[in-house]
Amino acid sequence: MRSTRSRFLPATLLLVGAIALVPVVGGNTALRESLFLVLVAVTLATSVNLVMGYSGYVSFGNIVFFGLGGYVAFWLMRVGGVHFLPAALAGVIPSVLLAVLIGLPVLRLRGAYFALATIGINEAVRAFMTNFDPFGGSVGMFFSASAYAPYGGARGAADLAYLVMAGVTLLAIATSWAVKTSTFGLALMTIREDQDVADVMGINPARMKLAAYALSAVFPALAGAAFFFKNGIIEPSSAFDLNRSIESLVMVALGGIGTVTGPLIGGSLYQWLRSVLITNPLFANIQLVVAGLLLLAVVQLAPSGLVGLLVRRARVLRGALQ
Amino acid sequence: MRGIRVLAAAAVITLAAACGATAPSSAPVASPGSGEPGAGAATTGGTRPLRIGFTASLTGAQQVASAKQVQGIQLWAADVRAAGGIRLADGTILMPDLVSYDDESKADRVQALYTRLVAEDDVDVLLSPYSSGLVKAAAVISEQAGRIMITAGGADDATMEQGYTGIYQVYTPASRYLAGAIDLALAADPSIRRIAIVNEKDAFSTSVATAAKPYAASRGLTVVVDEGYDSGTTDFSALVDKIAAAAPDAVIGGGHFQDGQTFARQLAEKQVPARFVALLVAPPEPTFAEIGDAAVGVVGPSQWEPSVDYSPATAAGLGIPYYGPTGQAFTAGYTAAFGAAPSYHAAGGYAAGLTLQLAIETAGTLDSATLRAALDPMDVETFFGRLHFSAEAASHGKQLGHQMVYIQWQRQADGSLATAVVWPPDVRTAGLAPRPGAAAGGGDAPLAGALLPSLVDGLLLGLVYALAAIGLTLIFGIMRVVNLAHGAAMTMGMFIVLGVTAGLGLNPYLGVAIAAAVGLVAGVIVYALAVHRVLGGADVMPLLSTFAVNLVVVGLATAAFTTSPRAVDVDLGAMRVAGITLLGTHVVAVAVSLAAAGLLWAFLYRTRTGKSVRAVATDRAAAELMGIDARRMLALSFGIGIALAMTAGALLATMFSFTVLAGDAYQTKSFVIVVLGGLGSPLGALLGGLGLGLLEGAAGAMMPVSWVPVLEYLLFIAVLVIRPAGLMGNRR
Repeated sequence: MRSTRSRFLPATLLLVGAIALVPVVGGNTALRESLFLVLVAVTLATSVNLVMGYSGYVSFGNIVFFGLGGYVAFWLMRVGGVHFLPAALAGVIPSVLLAVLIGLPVLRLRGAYFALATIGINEAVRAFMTNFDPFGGSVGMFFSASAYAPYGGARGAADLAYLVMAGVTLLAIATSWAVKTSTFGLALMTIREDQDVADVMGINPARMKLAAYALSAVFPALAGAAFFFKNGIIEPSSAFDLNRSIESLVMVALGGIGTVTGPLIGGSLYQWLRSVLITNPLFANIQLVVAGLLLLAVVQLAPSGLVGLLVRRARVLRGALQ
Repeated sequence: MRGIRVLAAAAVITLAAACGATAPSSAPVASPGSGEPGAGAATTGGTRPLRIGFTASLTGAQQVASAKQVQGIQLWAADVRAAGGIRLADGTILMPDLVSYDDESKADRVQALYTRLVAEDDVDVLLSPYSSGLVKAAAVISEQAGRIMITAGGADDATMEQGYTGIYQVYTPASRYLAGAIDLALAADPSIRRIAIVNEKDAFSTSVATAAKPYAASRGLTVVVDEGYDSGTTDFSALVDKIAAAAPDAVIGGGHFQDGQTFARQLAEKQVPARFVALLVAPPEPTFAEIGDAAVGVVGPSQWEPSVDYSPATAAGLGIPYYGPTGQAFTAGYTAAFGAAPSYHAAGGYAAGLTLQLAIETAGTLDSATLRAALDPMDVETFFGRLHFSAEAASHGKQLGHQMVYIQWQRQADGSLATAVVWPPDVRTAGLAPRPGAAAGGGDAPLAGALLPSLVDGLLLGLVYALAAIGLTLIFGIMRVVNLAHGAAMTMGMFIVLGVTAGLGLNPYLGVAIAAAVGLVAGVIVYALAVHRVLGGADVMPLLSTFAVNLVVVGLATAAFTTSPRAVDVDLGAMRVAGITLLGTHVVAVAVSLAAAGLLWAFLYRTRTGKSVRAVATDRAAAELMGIDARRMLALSFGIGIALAMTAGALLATMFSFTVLAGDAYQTKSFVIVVLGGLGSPLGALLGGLGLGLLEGAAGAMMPVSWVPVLEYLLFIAVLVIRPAGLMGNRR
């Protein structure tokens, strides 16, 4: 048991890293585009799982960190002429700051109240950006064709964004594993099971939850920076799209809430399924219906997700899929 | 139990695998009569397919216009095939072969799919998706791949000012959309002085308004209202009250279809006496007439109209060649193929194809550099109008030749509504008709100013919003479920009213009653299928489960009705009290809402079943020990909650335009209201609705309307943080 556990992280990272490298080595740009979206999905799902899976708080509007990180990084690149890498790192700061400032009061709320508050935060920031002219207001911002010149043209920029995104994903997975196997993770899971008991046991729930919430803001901010850098356009409606938030919750549930591999499996499967449904003429018109029915089936019949199902079938997998 | 779960998982995986297995071999959305795509491999001097890639919005906000654009492209491809293809210099005959995917109206999908078109499908040339935002996303990929892309459906100027070298725009750019409207207004009525410019806050409409303001000033007009509103705005009361108070002679602006239609309707309902009204996008659509009298007199810019006759004669007048079919031939061909008259979206799609065809014929090859050399100097008249692109580096590919035409909805002699082309003078089919109810000479400002009417409007509307919120809070209070299918239920209510009025020709308020009944049954069914099993589990499960229901309902509704905006034409007249206009539809909606809320109260507090429901809410286990069938009570309450949502949706349909996606915005409003009033408290929700309505009315009158949502959500968060039990709710 112990040995599968210690081998879990390097094995997972190696596998994900190897798959991520395929389009780079093969020079397959279409695969690179598809995998880029998968990596973004896995990162967002892993991040929301840090809060939801381990501490039981449903951060419904987690996409606000993706949008905010993307916006700040984009603004630095476009207006300040800053290189993508420092700009992406700088984008993390306002996201974490927002998480801490908002988290302090909001994390006192429990259950549905917290979920609704996170929706409100996302909508408030979106509505604000729509009116905030330095960031382009409702029109947003975009790059001119020459903006990618320092990165070797648009193609070089897309490669760079992809590689950074792959790195962020690996980092997010490693963090998720580290949190889960640490006393920090144990504290969060105690809070999830019973916050009052956790309090009595000497855990400071407020501080723990805040740390988890702030951590869940880091990777979406980086993902947002890479995503909009590659897109070349950022607009309030695409940056703070609540549906993308809900989709990442769906991915976590599909894979398995509170597991490290769940968001990875769920995110990959969901994105792959969506792109298959969209490009398939048989399903293109009813792809929303198919996605909805699949989700309903998972929630009703397999609430512990695919990981839960697999573990129940074969307990040996437990160490490998945690 | 375990067996069922494994079975379900197996089914999921099998289905997924099946999709995967069919995907690679599946032909992309095929065009009508496309022989055997890919069968004709390239042989010199023989026939080979001309692979043209683009994405279409089969779902999402751009669905309707995109579908028409695609039909235009398909018709062009069919025409070229029928005429024997396009001949290259080396004698090869090219047969158009369209390769397209659904972009869901989303920019990130567009980029992934255009990359796929270029890298995997190896298309020869690209056409654009529909809408400025999606064109921008596609342009990045097209330019990166060094392909030529002809854009239709993207009028934004900024896209064409990024230094792209292979993007060519067929549409007249946004900055010229309303300049002609101002010319038209002044030509018809030189006494116009005061103008209100209001626009949706999105890229396209903002470009239009930004260009219109200095132009209006240069023509001697004073801009008396200059405001943007958030995309997705469904009610314009505050803005219209503000416009009425400013008493402009002309109102121009708008955004897209749904907002434009509602805005036009509210301008008429409020009897804003402006002499000239011109709105973007909405008026040229035939369904604009659904709002009846409110459509009369409204002017709209259009890229093309069937009645406008560009011909070899007009081309000769300009000293340029004419290319392609005549307008009559296009209209006849389109009508025969698709059974409806073509809109400008369809014409734009066809024109993009024509542009490509002429470029290939001129170049004699598919090489991008040679195609570019053919496109840069192109200056030609087509059925769509003149096409000529900027060759300057700063605005390369921007459309310079094409002109907008302006249509107006006019009441015909037989009482029907029809559009006439009223501008420019050389192609117009009728003169500008006066707008009904318009004040001659400068209109006087109403006595009440903007604040009071705005407050009254907000109050009335808040009470209708409250009805849906009561449903949401009832469900939450009894079973601790935040129902994410609430918006979908409201949408269903809207479409039931549409079906009852437009489909059966009956009274819309009968539709409201039917919506309530259907809601009760649908709610009980949804409870049994999706909600019952997830009660008491992790917080996220009921959220996901009801979200899944939302996806299924919206998906089915999109497949059945499309995302095309709809409106129900109900006019119960209006009362004018002390300068405030009270609309019949709004007053009746409030009366129905209050009656429904009263019935709910009587049920909960005066009947035995209602008491049982409350008992289950207070303590389910104890209630069950008392012999109450908790499952039945929960199902019943979910049914009542959905019935209230559908009733509210039905009432909203009698007031505003809507689409199958309209529920989302109203659902978010319900969230705000239930939090203001205290989660779980029906009376709190009623008061919360009232509060939200007053806030929207007051804030809308006193600050730019686009800032109102910011205020609303900040208040929402503040209430959650400071008083989670709600501002007005009972503390339990």
